[in-house]
Amino acid sequence: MNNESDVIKHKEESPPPFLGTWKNVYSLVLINLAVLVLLFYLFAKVFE
Amino acid sequence: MTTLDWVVLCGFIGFVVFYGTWKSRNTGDVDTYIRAGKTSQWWLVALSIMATQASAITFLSTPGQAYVDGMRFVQFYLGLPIAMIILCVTAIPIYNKLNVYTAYEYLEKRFDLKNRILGSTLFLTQRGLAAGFTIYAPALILSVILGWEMNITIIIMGAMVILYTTVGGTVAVNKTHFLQIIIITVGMFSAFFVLMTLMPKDVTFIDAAYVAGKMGKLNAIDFTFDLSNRYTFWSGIIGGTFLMLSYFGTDQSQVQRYLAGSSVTQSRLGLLTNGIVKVPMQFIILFIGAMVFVFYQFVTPPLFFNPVEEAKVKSGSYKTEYEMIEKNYKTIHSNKQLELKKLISSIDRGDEYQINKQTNKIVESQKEADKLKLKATEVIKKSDPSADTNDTNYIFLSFIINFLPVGFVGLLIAAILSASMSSTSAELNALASTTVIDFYKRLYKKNADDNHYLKISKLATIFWGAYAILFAILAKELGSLVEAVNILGSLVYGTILGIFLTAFYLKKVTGTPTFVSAIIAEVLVLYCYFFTKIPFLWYNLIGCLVVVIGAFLINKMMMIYAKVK
Repeated sequence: MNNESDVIKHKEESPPPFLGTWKNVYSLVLINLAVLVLLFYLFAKVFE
Repeated sequence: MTTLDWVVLCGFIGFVVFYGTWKSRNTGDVDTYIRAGKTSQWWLVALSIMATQASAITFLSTPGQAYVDGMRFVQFYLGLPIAMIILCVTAIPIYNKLNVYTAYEYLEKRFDLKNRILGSTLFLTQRGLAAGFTIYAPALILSVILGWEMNITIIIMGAMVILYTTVGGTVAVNKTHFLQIIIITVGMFSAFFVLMTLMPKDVTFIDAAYVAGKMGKLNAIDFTFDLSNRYTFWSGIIGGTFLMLSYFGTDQSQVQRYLAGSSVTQSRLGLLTNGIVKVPMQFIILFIGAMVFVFYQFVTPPLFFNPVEEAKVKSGSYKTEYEMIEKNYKTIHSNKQLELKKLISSIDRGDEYQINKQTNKIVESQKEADKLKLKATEVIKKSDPSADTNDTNYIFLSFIINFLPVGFVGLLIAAILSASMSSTSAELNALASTTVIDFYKRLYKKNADDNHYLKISKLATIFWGAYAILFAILAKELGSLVEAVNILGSLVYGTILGIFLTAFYLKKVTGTPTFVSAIIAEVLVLYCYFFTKIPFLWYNLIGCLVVVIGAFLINKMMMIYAKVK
């Protein structure tokens, strides 16, 4: 069996090229999704 | 199609095939052939991931779905960004650290050989069939609308993909993906802009959006929790996340795309870019479908979009009955067009009372038109019981052929063929890699030289290409094509994902409990498919949970039994 836990522990080794940490980049992706859902919903409501 | 359209089509497709073959002709080792030597930058990883997922089915069926059913299909993709994040956290570092060539190689390193073989077998079964569909779907639609001979279309398309994929492996696939995604994007945006210019002069973009909205076609988000409703926010977020996790995390045709990333960072950025771009991209494609619907409110659409089935019923004994329905359908549409003009002028004046009044009239007319369409499909079925009565997949291409200007038709068909070829090449590439790495090298010939495995990889690509072509030639109609492929994936994806999630997160669970629970899960998913009405998106969740919980419990029982013993 291999040592995946070690891998997971070291997953943050190389930082992303922007926003400082991977956590921030992931948050950006989630915020983008939330904004899109909201926009799609409003788009439908406005033209309903 | 005019000569100019043929020149555009052959020019684009010919260039892609030549470029892919030429640029990758010196691929000389297995690592480069399967993982592009792990040299790809994030943008190439992202484009390749998108091109792999965006098959011709995406561009033919999706606008048609919006035309018929509105934009709610976009919710199917809402879980994708979440899945991308989970894979960035979990799968990419592990695959990278273990330096694997296929996702299933990891299963042996973590569990044992039988789990690796189970995972790769499920992949080969499902993806082998899907590769056939990827060629079959556009060939069927092109043959019906353009009158192309279907088997020849399948063979030519398949042969072109086999050529460059066999010569250059992943390098060729990635290089052609770059060009194909450009053609697809240019094609779709061109279709949208031309479509807007084809609207009546007094109908602005805002007016068109109002008409689509009033007629229920902009229903992109539905927050109701209803298990019997296939596309809701919740089924997309929950079921969609599991489906996308399976597809991107365990399907070698996608895993191979980010395994080619030059580092963990490049692979992650590639996946996350897909997480940001994919949902709006699907929204735009669906919106084009909604606009095609609006366009056909001002131009009477055909009663049935499949010209072959329509010609058959008109030449049979139900001709009079069908033509009577067609006449009534045209009358309803003519009346509706007058009401639509009144609606648009009410919208422009901001007269709420008139807007509601006209909207109700138009919705009622649409219901009448839908009833007539249903009657027409019944007549088609009576005339020929084997007839395909679902014309959703023909709507967009029918619009392209009949209304786009010369040159644009060639561009759009090049985009559709590019999409088909981009998916097929990634599939053949992945099927060959899994066959060689997980079966041939692992079970048959362990210590041959690199050149030998390279040759076998090329032979495996040709084999799977021929298999896909054969399957495409033999395939039968399976309802809406886009859903057929997704259903096929959902029958095995949950189980595969369960195996991988157990491997990633349940560190104490061993191979045998995982294997046993995977078999139970697969049987249960097949039971759900054949004997229940549970929508297919939930199969991913069911299969996955059964494997994870089952593996955990069986493992616990085995540990207790071992202690007692």
